[in-house]
Amino acid sequence: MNDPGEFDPIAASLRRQFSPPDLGALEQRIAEAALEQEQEQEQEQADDLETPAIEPDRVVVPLRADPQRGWTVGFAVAFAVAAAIVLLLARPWEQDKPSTLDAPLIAETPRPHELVPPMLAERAGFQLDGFLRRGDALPTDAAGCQPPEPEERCATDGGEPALIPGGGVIQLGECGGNTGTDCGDFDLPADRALLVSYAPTGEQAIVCIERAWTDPHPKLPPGSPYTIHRAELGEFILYEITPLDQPQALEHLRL
Amino acid sequence: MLFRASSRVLWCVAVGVVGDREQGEDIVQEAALLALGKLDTFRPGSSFPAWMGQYVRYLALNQRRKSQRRQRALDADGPSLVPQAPTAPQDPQALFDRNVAQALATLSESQRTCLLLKTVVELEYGEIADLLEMPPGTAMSHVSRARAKMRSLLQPESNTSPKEAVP
Repeated sequence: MNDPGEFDPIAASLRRQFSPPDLGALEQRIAEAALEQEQEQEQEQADDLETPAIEPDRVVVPLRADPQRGWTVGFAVAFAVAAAIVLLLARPWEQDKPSTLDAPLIAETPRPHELVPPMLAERAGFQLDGFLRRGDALPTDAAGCQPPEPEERCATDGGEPALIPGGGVIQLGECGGNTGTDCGDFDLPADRALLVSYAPTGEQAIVCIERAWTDPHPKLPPGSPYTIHRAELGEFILYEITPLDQPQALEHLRL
Repeated sequence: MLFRASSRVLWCVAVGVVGDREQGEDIVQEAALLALGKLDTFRPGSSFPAWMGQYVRYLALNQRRKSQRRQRALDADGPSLVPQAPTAPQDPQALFDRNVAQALATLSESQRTCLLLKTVVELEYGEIADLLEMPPGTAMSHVSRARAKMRSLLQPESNTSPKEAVP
């Protein structure tokens, strides 16, 4: 109750104007939809029970990725991460997550049809390509934007990411983050992203972090000088869009 | 039902992201229906508002981006030919509320959402952090900066619009 905002007129005005309306009708609609879905599922289960399995003795072994494959040590990284993997992502996501990036690159994963119309893949790729082609704007701030301060910052320290000024995981929905671009010019297909500058050559890349179910599977436009490399990290999809042939940053991501 | 217990919070998240209370209910409904189809991804024991919140934020962000693109297209078409309606005289509280809403619109999405969650539905910082997937310190910082900016915009001495005095 000692909160300074509790009794001031601004807070009172916010409560007057932005208190949630009566959501009873909405709650009822959702409850009905949930009930309907439950009944459908029960019906499906009942139907399944009536239909004998075709090959009841056949055991299907799910494919498992070899956690050691592909992401082991390897190459000396020479990049300076202008943005960090920041564990700001990690806190709420930490339950049952691997401690290191041990998933292999993935080619494609099924896309949720209801969210990702086919055109979005091309559009997402076009945005990423256009963003990287600017080439000179990372990681300054766009005029008029107030990017949030990164919680942690990173840089290269003997080939390993370390913290430095100027970077951080950004939330692209917010004023372009600190992507150095006007909020309206690009609509990058990611919930969060890392801006990356490889050392010593200085090429710029971007690593997008997206939940698997919102992954638009971006496709770069024909003739793009960039390539997309993908990886899974826990329940997230990462893709590094880079002018290089191989990803340099993905293996350093941790939750 | 878990949804019933979270609907107010989720509504606030939607409104915080889009900045428009009129769209809040539609977004929450769309998100709830979407989430219903993905209930198998919800882990029992984990935070239901946080799980639902990701759908709400995703759809709200999409909605906001659509609105921004529409607005840019309108701006590119030149000034509107529709004359602005003259502002009717308002009582001081209505005037102040309007200025507060304008000041709120200048905040970043995170600042606005955190401020509404803290002020309107009175969540603790830890709850905001869980919901928006950010460290508690960041949630606190967003609220603090949001309040500071709102106050600076609404100070009587300020020349910045909105400039009407705090009553």
